[in-house]
Amino acid sequence: MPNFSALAGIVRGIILALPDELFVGDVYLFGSILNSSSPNDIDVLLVINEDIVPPAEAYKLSMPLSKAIEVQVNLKLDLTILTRTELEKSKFVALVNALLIRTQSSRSPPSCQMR
Amino acid sequence: MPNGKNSWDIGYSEIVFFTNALNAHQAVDHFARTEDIVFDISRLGRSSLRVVLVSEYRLGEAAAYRAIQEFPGIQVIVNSGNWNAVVLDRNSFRRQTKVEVLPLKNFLGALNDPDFCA
Repeated sequence: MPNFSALAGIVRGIILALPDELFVGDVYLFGSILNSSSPNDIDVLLVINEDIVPPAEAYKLSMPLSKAIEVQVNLKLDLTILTRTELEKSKFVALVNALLIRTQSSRSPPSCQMR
Repeated sequence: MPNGKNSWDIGYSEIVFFTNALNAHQAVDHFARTEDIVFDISRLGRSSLRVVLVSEYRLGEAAAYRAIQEFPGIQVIVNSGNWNAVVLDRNSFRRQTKVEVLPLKNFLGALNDPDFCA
């Protein structure tokens, strides 16, 4: 299990504390937030189940979550939204070593080790 | 939205790179930039194109639909950035929306094709 920065741990906690209704998909962190103590922004990956959330509606539906994270963390959020099919095809999570914060259906994320 | 600001985090250097590529392209007669990242391109002996330039780590359907909704009338979404990629099913998306989605390097080649967005 890789180590992530203390800041990533703080952001993880903030995201986990947000209301359930904001989560329209699985949420990952990736990019400099995982390794840096002073990132310029937060890279967030949202993975939607395209059978439940139409891709054409995904950005609009994700706006409350994006805004809530930006306000709480006080960093600009750079949001990438993929369907489950696109994620599987692209292997993006493995490629960028993204950290799963929470799934849409569960508030219990996998454990991860923080530095 | 006038030139100078966009909600897609496309920086000035990316816009300059793209405009320089269009200026040098043998198939491009002239073009106009609006809304900072939308390009109306007139091609020599080929159809005109309305193109939006984005820069997504991984460009999927959600982002593509967002571009279509924000910039009505676009025919092509071009994804710049050497480390970025298009991950949606381009053929399926084209059938659904009549919009082409391409990485930048493929778009510059497609500009030569008279059947592209004909």
